[in-house]
Amino acid sequence: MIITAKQLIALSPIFILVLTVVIIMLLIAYDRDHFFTFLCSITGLTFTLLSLYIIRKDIPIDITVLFHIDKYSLLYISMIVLSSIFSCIFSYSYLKKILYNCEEYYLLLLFSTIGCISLIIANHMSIIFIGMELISLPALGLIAYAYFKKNSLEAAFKYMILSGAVSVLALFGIALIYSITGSLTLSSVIYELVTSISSPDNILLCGLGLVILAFSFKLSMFPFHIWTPDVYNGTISIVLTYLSTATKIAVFSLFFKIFIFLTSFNVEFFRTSLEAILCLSIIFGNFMAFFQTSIKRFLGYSSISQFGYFSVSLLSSNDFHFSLEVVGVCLIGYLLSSIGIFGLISIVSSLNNESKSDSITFYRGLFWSNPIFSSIMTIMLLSLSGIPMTIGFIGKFYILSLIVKENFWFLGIIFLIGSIIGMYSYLKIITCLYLKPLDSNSEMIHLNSSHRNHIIFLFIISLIVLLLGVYPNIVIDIASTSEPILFNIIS
Amino acid sequence: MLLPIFIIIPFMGGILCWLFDRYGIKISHYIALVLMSIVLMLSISLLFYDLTLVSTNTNKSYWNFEYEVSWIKRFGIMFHLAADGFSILMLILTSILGIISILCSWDTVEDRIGLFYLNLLWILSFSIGIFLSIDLFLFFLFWEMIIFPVYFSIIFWGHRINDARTCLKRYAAANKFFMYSQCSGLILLFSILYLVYSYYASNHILSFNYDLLRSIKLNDFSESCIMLGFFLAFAIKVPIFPFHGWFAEFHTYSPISGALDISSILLKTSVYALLRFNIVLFPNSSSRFAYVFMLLGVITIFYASFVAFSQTDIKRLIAYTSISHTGFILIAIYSANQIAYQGIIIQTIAYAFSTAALYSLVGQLFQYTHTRNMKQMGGLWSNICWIPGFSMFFAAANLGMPGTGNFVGEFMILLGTFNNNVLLSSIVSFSLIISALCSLIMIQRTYFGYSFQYTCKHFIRRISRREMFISISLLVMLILIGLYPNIILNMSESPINNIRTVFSNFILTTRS
Repeated sequence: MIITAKQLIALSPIFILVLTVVIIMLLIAYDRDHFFTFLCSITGLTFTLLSLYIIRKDIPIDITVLFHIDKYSLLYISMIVLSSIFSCIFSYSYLKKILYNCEEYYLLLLFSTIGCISLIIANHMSIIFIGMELISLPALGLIAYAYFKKNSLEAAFKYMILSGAVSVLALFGIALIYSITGSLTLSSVIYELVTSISSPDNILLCGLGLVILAFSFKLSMFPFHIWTPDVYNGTISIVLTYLSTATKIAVFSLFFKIFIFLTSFNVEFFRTSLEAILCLSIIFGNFMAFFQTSIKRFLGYSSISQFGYFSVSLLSSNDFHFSLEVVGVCLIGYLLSSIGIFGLISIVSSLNNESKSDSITFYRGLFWSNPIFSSIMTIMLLSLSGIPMTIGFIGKFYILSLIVKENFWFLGIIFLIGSIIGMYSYLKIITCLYLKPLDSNSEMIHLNSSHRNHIIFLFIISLIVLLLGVYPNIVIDIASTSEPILFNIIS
Repeated sequence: MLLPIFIIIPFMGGILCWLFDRYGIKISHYIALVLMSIVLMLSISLLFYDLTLVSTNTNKSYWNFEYEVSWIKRFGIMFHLAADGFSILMLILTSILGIISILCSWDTVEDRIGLFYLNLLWILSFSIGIFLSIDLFLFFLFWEMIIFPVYFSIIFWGHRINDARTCLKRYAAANKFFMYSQCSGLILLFSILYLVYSYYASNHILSFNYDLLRSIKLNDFSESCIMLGFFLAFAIKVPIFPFHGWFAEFHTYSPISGALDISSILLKTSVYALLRFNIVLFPNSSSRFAYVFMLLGVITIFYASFVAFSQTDIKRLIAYTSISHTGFILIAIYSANQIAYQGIIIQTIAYAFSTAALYSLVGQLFQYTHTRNMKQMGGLWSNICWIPGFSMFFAAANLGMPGTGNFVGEFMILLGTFNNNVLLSSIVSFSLIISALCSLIMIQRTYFGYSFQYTCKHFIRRISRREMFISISLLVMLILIGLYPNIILNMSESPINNIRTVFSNFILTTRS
């Protein structure tokens, strides 16, 4: 098997990141310098982003049978790299407070990013498995990074055991698929399914079902969401910036790429199970979010419902391009607003006692002491809840259009109920920001200079969120032009 | 290019007020006042444009003014504004009420004045947007956006008593308003999308254009569904009987100066929307449900007046009486009668003026007595200059005394509905007694009788020239409309008749 130079160049995002990882390892061995490591990882990630621009001309391209890069992957890789860059930036000032071993944090983050990228460009079941493990093992390290904090180890254990169990099931599923198709490339699996529409093989369905299970675990969809609130609660917020955006977006992009065909070719089994999962996620996520007193748990539950909304796109009957736009726009919106909200929380928690700043009551009356901060937070929360003039609304508009277009009346009602409950729970936090502060809660958030830079970043993000909400053509263009090549194979 | 200016001036003006707030205490008052006066003058100038335009141009589309820019191409969404006589009247009404609400809050708003005017001007800007937008997506956007300035002005400048419990209640009221509006917005969005995709299914054009969607032919079931969705969304905002839960709370805790209540122009937006969208887009199913909606209107009228009767808070009393007036409007809308339709316009405008005046008087009274509870008032007639007299007049106007615009509106509505529904209109006319009783109770409890608290002579207060101006200008306008309603009727006749003919054709066919 010969790999041409073109193919090697196409793999450059991964190579650059691996190179960065190696350099950081050497740096740690030589001399621990936090700032330099930080700079190194940011540079690595930026070069990765730039390399996407270079390989843009060579795509679509197959790299052996394992990888496949197309425009679709480029969009999602850039989203993930962006999320990693922002999590690095927000982490820096928090990690400065931890006086030892803060360099490995970047190492873990970069490893996990490599996992995300390989998952997105995977064209082979083995890479999917490896990618998922490469995401979750470093993520485990990140979750447990602040091991001296309460709940942190608990969260790590929970994540480790559950994710381990799910990985094993996924591996079993992949094996079952292999036993039927004799090949593990995505196209062959899909081909097998498409050719046997009338009576799909039960073992194949079982295998795919197990893989769905693994995916919905990573996306924390309803019956497999149990880990989410606890892990969100125990993890430090800088890690959550990464965990809730990059890993989920990577998994979802693959989930979408594979399963859009299965539901559209009327494999009834997938359709009903997916419908049940997403309806329950929407209702349950929004409903439970309403009762939370900790903002991290709240965001955990709300992310359950968010991915419930996004999965509606998988149910489209034949207009793949529309679903593609739905997913693209929704995920870009989700990325921006999640980075914003977690960035804000991480600023607050790096200034205050972490466990104290988790509770929603901590944010009570924030507007009176720090108006800019709370207006950014308001914009982000409004965007997450899908209020007009924010990018979140455009996503919601797309999902609703899909529901109406395909005449999913039952889903429509679920969506309506879910988003009204969701709106109320977001509103609860927003109102909290504008209440008169309690006397006991007199400490204000004083920002020092480095945090002021973060606030400027976040301010720009919130402006982008508003601008894209008013003029979404750019996002729509990006999302609609980035179609996976698989689409053409099937149609 | 003329139409976007109406939205942009208040919108940018709000930002200016907020920015220049720090340079002077009064500066944002003047900015807001000047800008809204410009809007008023511009909107009045549209009327003169109008006449020349019609005479020179045998227009193909029936809009007098139109502005169109491509916006989101993917969905065929345009930034599409248009105005006919009806919209222009609403525009003028909004800008007059806007000026009055700015004047009302002149002295009473003390903290963060700039931000207050930002909210106030944005409310006005977005409601003008609602009156002008013809693209359904744009309409929905304004419909949703107006919630935020209203929400924040209740939260920041709402009725404030230094008591933690009332404070929380104020937040609860704001949240209630927000949630009701969100429900209305979501239902509206669903219905709009359903409509648009039904049009797409038959014509393969994805568009939110009102003019295109008017021509849609739907089957009975889906038309009824969409129509009910639209109706529900608008009914929550009007508000009509089962959906009025937020309204009284909203008025109890809205800012004291009454500025916000006056810009309760946002209630008029849904009357406008019912006429503009519900009737014209779905004449067929509207005519089928007409009886149900008229019945709802009757229930609303009686229910609201009975509840108003038992209130002790003046503001709540006025709020409930204004709910009962929207019942009249609802009946008139679904009667499809020409005279009743003219009455709607008069009724809408006259009641906007009279309730605005009452709210501003309550605001002035509050500064003097520090209460809105009628049980704690009494005997104020001899203690205050001017305010009782004005209140007397506007209360009389509110109950529909001949000579005021309100009488004309109510009379035309009753006359019009009598032609096609004798029973309903005769039942409804009895409600006038109750509403008269409400107004009398309000006047009697507040101004007459024996007062325990305010007997001292030194309480006598001369009202300022500003307050005098507000009351007198509204008084003059009400009497003007009452004596010579043709000013408005001439303007609104052709556009409102266009709307009516669309609807009445269906009524006639279904009844014959």
